[in-house]
Amino acid sequence: MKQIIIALGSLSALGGIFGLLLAWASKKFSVAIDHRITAVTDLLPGANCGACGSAGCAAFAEALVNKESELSRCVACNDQARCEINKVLGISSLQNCGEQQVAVIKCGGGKSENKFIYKGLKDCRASAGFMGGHKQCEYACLGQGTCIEVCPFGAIEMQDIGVPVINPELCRGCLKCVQICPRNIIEMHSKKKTVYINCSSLEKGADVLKKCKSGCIGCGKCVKICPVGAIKLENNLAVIDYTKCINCGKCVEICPTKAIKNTSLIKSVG
Amino acid sequence: MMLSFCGGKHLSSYKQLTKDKPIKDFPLPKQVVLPLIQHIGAPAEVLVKVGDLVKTGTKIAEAKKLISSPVHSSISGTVSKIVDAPHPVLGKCKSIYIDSDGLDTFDPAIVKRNNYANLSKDELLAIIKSAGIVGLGGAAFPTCVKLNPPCPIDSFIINAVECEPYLNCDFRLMLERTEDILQGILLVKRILNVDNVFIGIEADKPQAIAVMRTAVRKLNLAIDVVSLKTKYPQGAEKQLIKAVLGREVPSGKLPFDAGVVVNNVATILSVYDAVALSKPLYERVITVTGKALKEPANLKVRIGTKFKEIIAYCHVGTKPVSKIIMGGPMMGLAQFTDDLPVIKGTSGILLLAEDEGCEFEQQPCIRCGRCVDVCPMRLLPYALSLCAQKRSFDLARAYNPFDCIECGLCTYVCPANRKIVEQIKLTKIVLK
Amino acid sequence: MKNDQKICLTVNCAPHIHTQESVAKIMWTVFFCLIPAGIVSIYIFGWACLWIMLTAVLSAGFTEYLSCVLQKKKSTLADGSAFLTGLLLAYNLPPHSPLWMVFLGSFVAILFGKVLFGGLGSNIFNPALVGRVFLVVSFPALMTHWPKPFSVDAVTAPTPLAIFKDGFSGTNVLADLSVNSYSYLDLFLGFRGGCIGEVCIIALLSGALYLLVKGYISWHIPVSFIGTVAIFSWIFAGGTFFRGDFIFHLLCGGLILGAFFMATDYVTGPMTKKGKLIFGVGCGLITSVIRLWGGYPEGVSFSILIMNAAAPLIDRFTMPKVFGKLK
Repeated sequence: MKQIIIALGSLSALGGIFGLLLAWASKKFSVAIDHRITAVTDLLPGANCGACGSAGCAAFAEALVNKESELSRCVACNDQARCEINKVLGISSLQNCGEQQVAVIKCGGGKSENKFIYKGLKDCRASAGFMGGHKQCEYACLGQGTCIEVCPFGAIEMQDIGVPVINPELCRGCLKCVQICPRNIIEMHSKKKTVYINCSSLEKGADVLKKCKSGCIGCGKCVKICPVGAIKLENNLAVIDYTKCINCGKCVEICPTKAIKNTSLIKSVG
Repeated sequence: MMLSFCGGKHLSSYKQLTKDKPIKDFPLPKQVVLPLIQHIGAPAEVLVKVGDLVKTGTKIAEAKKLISSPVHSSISGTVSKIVDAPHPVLGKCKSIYIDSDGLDTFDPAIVKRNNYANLSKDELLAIIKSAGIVGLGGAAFPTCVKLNPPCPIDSFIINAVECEPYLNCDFRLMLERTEDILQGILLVKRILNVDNVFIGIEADKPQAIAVMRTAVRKLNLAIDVVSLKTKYPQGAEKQLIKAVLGREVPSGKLPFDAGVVVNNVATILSVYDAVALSKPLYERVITVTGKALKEPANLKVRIGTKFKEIIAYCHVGTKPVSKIIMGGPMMGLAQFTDDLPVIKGTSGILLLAEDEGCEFEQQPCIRCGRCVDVCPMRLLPYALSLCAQKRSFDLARAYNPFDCIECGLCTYVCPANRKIVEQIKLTKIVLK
Repeated sequence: MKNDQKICLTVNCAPHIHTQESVAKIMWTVFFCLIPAGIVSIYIFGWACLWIMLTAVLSAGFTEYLSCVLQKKKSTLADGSAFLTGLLLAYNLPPHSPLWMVFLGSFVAILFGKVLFGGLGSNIFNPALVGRVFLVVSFPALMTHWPKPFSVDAVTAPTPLAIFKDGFSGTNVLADLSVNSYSYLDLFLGFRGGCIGEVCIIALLSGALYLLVKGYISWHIPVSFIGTVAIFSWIFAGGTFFRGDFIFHLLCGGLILGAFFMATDYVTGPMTKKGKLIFGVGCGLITSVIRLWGGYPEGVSFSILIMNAAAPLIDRFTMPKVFGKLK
């Protein structure tokens, strides 16, 4: 019994002494940290995607506070956070906010016929270098899921048709998928404008039809129906001018191949 | 101790399938497809238009750039269309279609040249360039550029190794056209102005070695026929130079940086044909082989002949074909269709049946070190593979991915079925 | 393949042919090369050995299967590595080990030696040796309980190395005499106390020879390992320098089993030839030091584990010079 008491006593005493020592040291040797840095760090997305050019969100917060960087460099922040960060930094809330951008994969071509059975590495970059990809369509998503791998927010999921889809609610617009896609079919657009052309093929309508049932065939129906004239045909592909688009969704309904999609309808597939 | 390099591995060669089959002329095709890129370098520029009549050997596309090569019609007939067509290397390429008139009339320029011994170096190079000769071993680098090195060289090696399993076309050429090859070597020797000339042949082709040695002795030439250890990839340029001369081509450099020019034996022969017979490169010898074929053969075919015609000629057996490969099994390219033309770099067509394929699931690396042992470039393939798998391409840089010659040996020996070469290729794509 | 028929060919990257070797084939070959030594040990120590081997192998397999199920991975049982680990562990146990201890050892070997590191290929230490060392440290008495060969009533006797150690360190003056009671032939055939799989040298060597011929193991590690132990014990193990009985030291303990079957483990050893030589020499040195001056009579398992930890470092320093690169 005595030993137990000695052990307990001595350990508690030691603990107490060291605790006091630590408390003293933390006061004595404390380094002044700008509280704004921690506040901004907390408001940033915390994905450390590096798109801003800094080594992670904490470094970016420090750069922001020291006025070495600009908030617009962060593509992953949502509007609310932007305003709050600006508040912390003492900048009028409208400045440098920018509109939040999200990515969309412009291919609905899961049904695009295969040229051959691809048995190589599961990586789009490898697949693209292989005889120009295994899909008949040169603009088709290769479906190996490299964008899913690089997405720091888990916003991209594979659909049953073999083409991934980006969940606009989770996407923070960090551009990683855009940069890595070897086919360059991932594009950014404002999160508020939910309509997009789900095809990237620049081929003539007849050629598109031969290869794929869900491609833009450049028929021009959407151009005609658009009430604000926001859609035009460029190189056999419909292009939406988002400065004019009013999200009415008429083009989505009229498209004969269902090649125009509305992201507000995309829900998590998993 | 036989001459060789470190690493490498002896593979089962499967050469017996076509080893003793003499080269046969493939019947004239009804239509040929001639891609404008059959070489490394800029595409050739079209000289003809649809509806033009051409003869066998007529130049139909010209090389306008320095590193490029012209294309010649391989049959006589009419240009029917000039469109994008499937290409065995690039996937798709602009090609000239020629419909045969069945006559095979030769271009009047194709005449035997009697005075070729007096031609100067520049004249010879001009002939080689306009004959559209490229390396026939597979890489298809324009030969005229190769034979005009920017720095002094002292040795010339003829690559007659043919280390790829299954292929026999170079071997058959050596047996059947021995003296023409030697004449070609003399021509190239004059162009390069070198004293040391070697013919590198693997020791498992004693027939070829004997034939070449006899011919060299008969003509009393200063050519060294070197017997090399049978080991893949003995025919890779850098490994061949190491084996024959003991020199290592510096990393990232070309053979002429080590003072050497290496040429494939079939290329040498086409140089002879171009100079002595003024015959441009419009046909070549290929090996059509594989256990899926009933009658594998060595064929002399016109460039632009479609794979499917050649395959039909050799009769597919009862086994279902799962792969059509252009080239050998180690470095050849699997094709997605048989509607492809033979191009200048096609050394063989290999058909694999379903049971010969090697599609296994990748397993984790067990660090057995086989890939390290066999790597002819002395790299650490397993490390490159792991870096690529973990997508840590920056780390891979430390393991010299750009020195990899993609011989495929690491993937071949890997007991865990790892796709090492593919991963290294991906690393190269990403790091580029 | 008719022309009118739409064909869909398989396309993948070269090479299009592949060696006949596979991980499973290698593992099972090593497994079967170990079998003769096990059979001999049943002959020497009785049927108990068989139950120990079966328990070890099956519980290793069970643990592997369980971990695959828990990780929701495809079962990796077929590659045989778990069974091999189990068998190797059994060979490293005394002939009359209780079966619960065997099970525990296998469980620890697979779980802590392999699965926790990320499965086959990712482990740093030889799993079988992790299991053995766990048991040696946890149950020292049971793990040094050596029955006499051919004894029915479990009479115990110290192993030759333990006897030697007593003599060498001077605790038992009569030890020299007892050591001499073992003839080289006895030691070679395995008629001595020791672990299940380590005693019969000839059976082990025959299995190892097959592996060498097949190219599944290279000579580098065994030769440098055994060579180092031989030289070291020749110099130091005698009363005076260069008087040591090195043949005795080669034939005793788990040296042959360790050098041919455990130090040569692909996953935990170095990959380059030079690295393998360094690895073997390191193992040999540590083994000899432990045998002569350490706290245990035998040091093979510790030496291999220590060198396992050094293997990545060795690999790093023995990176081959890239073809055409100037240093």
